[in-house]
Amino acid sequence: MSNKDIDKLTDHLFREYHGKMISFLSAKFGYQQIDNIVDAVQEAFEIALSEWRYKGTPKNCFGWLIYVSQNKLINKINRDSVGSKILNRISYEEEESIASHEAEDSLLQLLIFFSKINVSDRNKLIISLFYLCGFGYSEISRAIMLPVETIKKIILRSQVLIKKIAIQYEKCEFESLHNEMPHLLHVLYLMFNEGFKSAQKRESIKKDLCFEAIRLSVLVKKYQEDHCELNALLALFFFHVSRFPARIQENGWISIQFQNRTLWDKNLISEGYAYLNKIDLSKNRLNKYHLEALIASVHCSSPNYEKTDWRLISTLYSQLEFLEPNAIAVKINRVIAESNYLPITPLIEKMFDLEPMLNDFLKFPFYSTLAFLYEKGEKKEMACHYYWCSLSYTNNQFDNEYINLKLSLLHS
Amino acid sequence: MKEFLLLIRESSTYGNLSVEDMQADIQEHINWVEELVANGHFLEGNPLEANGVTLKKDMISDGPYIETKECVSGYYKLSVKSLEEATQLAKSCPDLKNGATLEIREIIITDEQ
Repeated sequence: MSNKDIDKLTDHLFREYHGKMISFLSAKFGYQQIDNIVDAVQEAFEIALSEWRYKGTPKNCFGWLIYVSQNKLINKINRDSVGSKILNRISYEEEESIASHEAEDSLLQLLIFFSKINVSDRNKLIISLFYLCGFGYSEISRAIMLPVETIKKIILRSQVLIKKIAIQYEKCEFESLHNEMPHLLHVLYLMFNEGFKSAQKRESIKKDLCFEAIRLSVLVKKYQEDHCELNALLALFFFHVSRFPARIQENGWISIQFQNRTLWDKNLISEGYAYLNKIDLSKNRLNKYHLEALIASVHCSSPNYEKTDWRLISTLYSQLEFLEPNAIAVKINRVIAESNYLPITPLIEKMFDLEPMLNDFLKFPFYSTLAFLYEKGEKKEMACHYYWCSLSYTNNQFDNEYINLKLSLLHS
Repeated sequence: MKEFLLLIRESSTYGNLSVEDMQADIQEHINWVEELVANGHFLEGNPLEANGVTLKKDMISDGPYIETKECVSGYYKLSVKSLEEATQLAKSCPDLKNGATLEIREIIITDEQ
């Protein structure tokens, strides 16, 4: 090691490799080998751990890892089924010969495969994080806020499911990738949102979800350069992450009204605009991601809360409502925007019209928004009442602290 | 300068480490060794294969047993002035944090002249 220059491993490199290895090997050996592949990849990392500690990293880390895991996998398959046909088709590959685009192709294939599996959104997200993003059980458990045991069960069940589906699954031809985009974008959007809704300094794992979503989106973009919704989604992601440095203070959220906008990352904002500008409006219909990106861009370009063009934001929300007539969250957000320039009382009435349609996830945003409206209308008692009410619908520590702060300010 | 052998004893159960943790661990080790190299203390270091046999008079047994703490998983050879200095350097070895036991022994160099 002494006379070799050791390259520093870049952040999250292993996670990235993990996803690439799983997808590369499953493209080569078949998705029905998924459980053996996961084991082989894990073993390769363990061998790397014990050897690289002493010897430093090999020249081509990815090649090394693929080579070792492939050998482990072949041994395993050989043990399981003597003389099986699969093994006649493959040969031991030289570690240098694996082209990175090959690994990327297979990563995208696996992403498409997962996006089409018929499971709940939450499980789709968990499966993607495990296989594609190299998250361990406890990392996923912290990111999704479910017990480790639950995550393990979901992954184990997913292996059975993957094997079953894999038998008759036909690979997606990249020429027809366009047809798969809605599923793909949905998974990426889920991943980002899960991270964004509670990303905080103390739990960087949440931020990692956002960055994973961006990483995978950038990968998909290599294959779908001018895809309107993908550009919109990337713009949206960049506008949102640009606000990370200003969202958190020591013990809670800072609402957008009070964020120090000089902390917003200008480079990321311009990155967002770059993606937004790539969208050719003459060729595309307005879509959900585009509208959300536009709303975020209005925030990012406003000097402060008061000078924000709330009428424009509310118009954009009304277009979103038109695209998604059943999305209550959109209606709530529109009311918040309107509360900055319309009389409060009719808006409160509008809110109560929504109350019968709430599901559990919406109760916290609904009641805290209602409280916020009463607070704005200077009805302190009602505001307190609904802030209290909202507290019973969140487990998020930051939400809790935010509401408690609101309550203590109202009482003083 | 004297030579010292640093034996790392640990249980090699990585089951709970995520790849992110593994990467962090490898990086820490690389940094640690880099510093040893930079200060001229590093002679060599190698991991040991987990499988092996133990011999005793009339008995050959498999092992060392990797699930026990007694298994030596690797070694470093250091060039330092004294046991005290070797101990000082070993204190910053990242394995300690992970629960490993470090044994430091001076190598008696018999073929010096």
